[in-house]
Amino acid sequence: MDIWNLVIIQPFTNVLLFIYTLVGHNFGIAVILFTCLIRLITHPLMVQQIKGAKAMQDLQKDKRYIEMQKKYKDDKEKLAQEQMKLYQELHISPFASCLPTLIQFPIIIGLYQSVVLALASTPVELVNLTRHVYPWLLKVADLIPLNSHFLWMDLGAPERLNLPFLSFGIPVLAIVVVISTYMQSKMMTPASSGNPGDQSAMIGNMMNIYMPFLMGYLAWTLASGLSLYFVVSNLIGIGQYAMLGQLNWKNILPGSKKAVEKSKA
Amino acid sequence: MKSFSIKILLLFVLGSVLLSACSGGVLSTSWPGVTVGKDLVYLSYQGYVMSVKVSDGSLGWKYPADKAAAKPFYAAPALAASELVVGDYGTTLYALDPATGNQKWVYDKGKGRWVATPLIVGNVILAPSADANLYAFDQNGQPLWTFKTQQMIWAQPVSDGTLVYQAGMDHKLYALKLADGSQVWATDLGGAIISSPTLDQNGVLYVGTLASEMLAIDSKTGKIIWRHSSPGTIWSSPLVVGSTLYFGDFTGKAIALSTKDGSPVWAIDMAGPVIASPTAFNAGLIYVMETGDVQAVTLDGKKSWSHKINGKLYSTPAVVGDRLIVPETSGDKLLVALDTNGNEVWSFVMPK
Repeated sequence: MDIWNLVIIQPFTNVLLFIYTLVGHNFGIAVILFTCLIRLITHPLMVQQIKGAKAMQDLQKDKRYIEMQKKYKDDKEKLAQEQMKLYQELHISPFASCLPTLIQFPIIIGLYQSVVLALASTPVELVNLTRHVYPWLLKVADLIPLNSHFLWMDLGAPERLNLPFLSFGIPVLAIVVVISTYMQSKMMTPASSGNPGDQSAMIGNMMNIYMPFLMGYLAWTLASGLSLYFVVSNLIGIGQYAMLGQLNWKNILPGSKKAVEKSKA
Repeated sequence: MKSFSIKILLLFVLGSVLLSACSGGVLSTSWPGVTVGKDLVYLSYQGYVMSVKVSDGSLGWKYPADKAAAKPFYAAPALAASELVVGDYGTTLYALDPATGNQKWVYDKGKGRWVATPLIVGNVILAPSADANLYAFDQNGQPLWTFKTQQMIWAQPVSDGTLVYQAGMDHKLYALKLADGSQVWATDLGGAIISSPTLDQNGVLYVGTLASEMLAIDSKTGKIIWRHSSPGTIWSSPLVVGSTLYFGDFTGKAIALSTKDGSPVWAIDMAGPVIASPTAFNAGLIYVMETGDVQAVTLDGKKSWSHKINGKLYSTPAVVGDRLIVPETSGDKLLVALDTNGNEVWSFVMPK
């Protein structure tokens, strides 16, 4: 077994299946609880990410930062050097806000692979699952066959809600993933500095548009167990930001945004 | 800052593509299925159903001929005089001409994947599906009856001509009337069953479970006659020779039991997990292991010759005359033919 399997896939799969046995063999509930657990474990990373992002925002309002942007606008190398000096002086790490996000990505991949592994749909996949199960924690005979049905979904396959009067299935979960990802990214985006040349705001806006569709595409094409993870993860993420007092409701309530802009004017 | 954010975005896109690429729904894998004809073996694997000549290992025909129409096939085809019936990993069941590979009919109203090999009894085609149903068709692909179980079915049914015995992932062994699919009895065996039961001449069914048990069941009543605990999970059908039952388990044990009462006759250690059924060959037994080892064993449990193949061996070998045809998974070949001394005679690779 390779290191990725040993360190990520095997523990993830066993925890997921252990939760599954605890909740009366309901894989949907197991995925939801497992997601809560993952978000709880990665909560310190999220706090670090928020702090890092806040520090970077404050930096962009710093006089010295604004001045050096103007002063060295034609000398990118010098600008980078000066920025690094300022980072060191203010004890800011430019990676502090991005690193936690990067760390979460292998977790998403690991969770997806664990869901697919647990929902073995061919004999060879079942052999593989058997090999990953900790015999001291779980009994294969009690686990198989895994109940992959949750509400109207088969969590091992892409989700579609089939209605009798429609000739095609509606990808409900993919739509919910798009909406919740959009809401999450908008609510977590800090208020714009108002500077039309604010590049980070532009990138943020771009991410806010592309990410929901990207996640929606994944939810549309991959096993719905992963889509369920996306939705629950998004909702918990919003909840975590709310608890930390970082939610920016103005970004999704256009009326209140205009009111703020007016009051600024 | 801008370039860094773009890198993050690109990383997400790249990761998403990778995530899409490892989609279980599209790229699921399994082992090849092999069925024996007169001078041909029929192989279903990856995108195709193929016939391979036993004499020299050359390709007879390939279905579908067009690469663009290829679909994943994992279940071994079932062979009757004029039909070769095989289901794909989608929801379609195909009947092909065994001589030419031409399509005769398709049934595309299934709701689940076809993982199990169908069984043809007289004019009735019995096709178990992962949608939990056992479907019965006539020879033109017209549905006759359907029997619903509680979970996926991966095991090929067996029949004595009057009753059909179907093992399910729902831990149950069912006996149904061949004529109309009505249930005669059902017995809970305490573990998921993914392999076909073996029916002996005395009307006793033998079946292994993922609860690491081998059981003998009276085919008339469904009553359990005896049960034997093995060290590991049992993935394949046992083989009955005389009054002895032979099988292997996931811990790599080859086990022989008395058919009378399930008492141990012998047990020997193999080189790796035994997923496939043992095969009767040249007055002895052949065990194949996940490790790629082919091991000949005498009926009294003594190892004789062995042969190493560069691949994983999950499928039960087929015997045609004095040739042992060994299907392999994830190796460089699809089939390897061995003679009675374990020497390679020919091999068959996936045609391009």
